Amino acid sequence: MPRLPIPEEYESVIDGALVCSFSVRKPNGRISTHPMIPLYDRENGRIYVTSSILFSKKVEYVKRDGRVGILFYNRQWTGGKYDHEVLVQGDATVVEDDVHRGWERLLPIWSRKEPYIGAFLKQRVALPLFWERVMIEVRPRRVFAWREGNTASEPEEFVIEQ
Amino acid sequence: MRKIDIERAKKIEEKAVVTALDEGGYPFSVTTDSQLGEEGTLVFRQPEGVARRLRGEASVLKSHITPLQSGGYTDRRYVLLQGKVRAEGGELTFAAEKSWSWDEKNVPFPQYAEVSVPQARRYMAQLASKVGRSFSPWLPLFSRVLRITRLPFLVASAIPVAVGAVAAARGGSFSPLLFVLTLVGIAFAHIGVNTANDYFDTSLGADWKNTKPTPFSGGSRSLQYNLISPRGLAGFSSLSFLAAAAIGVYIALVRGVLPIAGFMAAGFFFSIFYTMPPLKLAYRGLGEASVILGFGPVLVCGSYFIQTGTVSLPAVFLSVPVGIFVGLILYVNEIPDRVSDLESGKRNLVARMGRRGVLAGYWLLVIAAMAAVVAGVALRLLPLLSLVSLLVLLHSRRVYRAVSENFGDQYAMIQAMSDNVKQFVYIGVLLIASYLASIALGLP
Repeated sequence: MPRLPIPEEYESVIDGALVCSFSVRKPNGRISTHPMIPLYDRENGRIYVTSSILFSKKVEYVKRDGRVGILFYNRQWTGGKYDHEVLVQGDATVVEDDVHRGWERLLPIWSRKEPYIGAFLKQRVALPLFWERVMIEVRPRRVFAWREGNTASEPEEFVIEQ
Repeated sequence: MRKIDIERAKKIEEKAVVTALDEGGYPFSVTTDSQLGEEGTLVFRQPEGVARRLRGEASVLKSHITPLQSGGYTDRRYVLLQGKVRAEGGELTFAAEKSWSWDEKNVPFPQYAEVSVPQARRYMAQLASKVGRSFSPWLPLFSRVLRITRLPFLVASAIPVAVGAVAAARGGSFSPLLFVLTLVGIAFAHIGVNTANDYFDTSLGADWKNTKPTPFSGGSRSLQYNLISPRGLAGFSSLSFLAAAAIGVYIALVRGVLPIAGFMAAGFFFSIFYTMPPLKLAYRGLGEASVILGFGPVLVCGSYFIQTGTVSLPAVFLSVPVGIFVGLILYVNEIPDRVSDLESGKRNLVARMGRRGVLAGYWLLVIAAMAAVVAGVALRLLPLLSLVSLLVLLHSRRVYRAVSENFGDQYAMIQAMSDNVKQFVYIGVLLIASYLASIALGLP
């Protein structure tokens, strides 16, 4: 699938975000939401988050139910260009074929957000479990956008064709 | 309801993210302002456009980061509340039932990661059963060996060997081959000690209880992180001791079986029973003494004996400061582990004493070490130039200050522990240099 069929300024919010709130469904019906670094791959229109196996509860939840929501908000955290608030709902799959190094293909995107991450990775011996990372790949299904972050209004809604 | 977490959530100024499940079962999130309601609930201004979607089971996330101009961010904290949300008079009321929070100012990331190790181990076990073989984190071979063996700490045994050898050289005896063999043999023995120590501290529970390890304390974590299996570590340790013993046997055949066997037995006793039951010297307040004796008299005099075939009073005197400063490495490194050591019954000297006693003990050991040097020179047992080692006292003050100011704060003590290791290296290098200079210049 090519890049997301949404206005560029909304895509820019997704692409520039340092952090997002990532929500998953727990088996007991509750919702678990955590701040995470979103990694948007413009080439295939997918959003990735990586989770260290240290903090892998959410991965277990995604394995049971892949319906997730990712909210991008706060201009300071989303690249500084726009105030728009963007919610992406999608289907997530867990990629754990190679938790040692498979996620490293996302390093170029991650490094744009945290330029020092490569230096940290060189110190892998210091925190070896932190660098065992599972990829969660999210295929967007619907995107909601609140222009200028005006959540008092109805959001624009975009249905993403699969 | 846990009111305290509601209060904590209020302290994060950013908007709250409210999430509920929409009709399709997908999490639907939106930000909104919130204020503390009655009985510790959170009340939200109802976002008109989306209010109909926010019902029933919900989560509220309040999180903060401070973006850095250079990229990335710092100052992470968040509170996650889970509960139910209902509409009331144009407002949404959220009643929390469970909560989680993390603030890296209160719980530094390394500690946060460490307390999460059980989750990582569960995940590794799942992966292992999925792929049908054991699972271990990936590290380049050298890094893995470095981590498992705690290789950098081998400086603590290399310096005593070198000190013993230069003392022998001053008397005219020095065999480069025996020196190298001694160094290699002791390195294997030290690796055996480090790995045995991790094996027993893990099996006795001390390393599991420690959730604030640092590069200098809390062990290698190789078993906690699944870098090696307990059986593998025990085997690694045994092989290291065997390699050390093989070299020891060769040296014994060259230099005299009984004396070398005596040194080897003493070294083996102090190293293996440091943590191994039933003696568990480190658990009984005898670990510090065994390190001082093992790395001081046993190593320095042993190395001296291998070169000369005898033990002299100068070598004994010289072993005192060396042993004490190695003991000080252990002594200071024990400070961050005090609480977890006590919890696991590891009642070493530091765990037994209060802050004042520990700090006084530090100076007592430093002064005892330096007094041995001064006395050795006064008695003409050590070269005059060895008095330069007193310069270390300047560094000792720095270490003391750092320990005193950061006492009990595991992560803040890392610099103090690093400086303390340097202190040992400095005195070792100064003593070796003073001997070499005395030999070269023909000084008394």
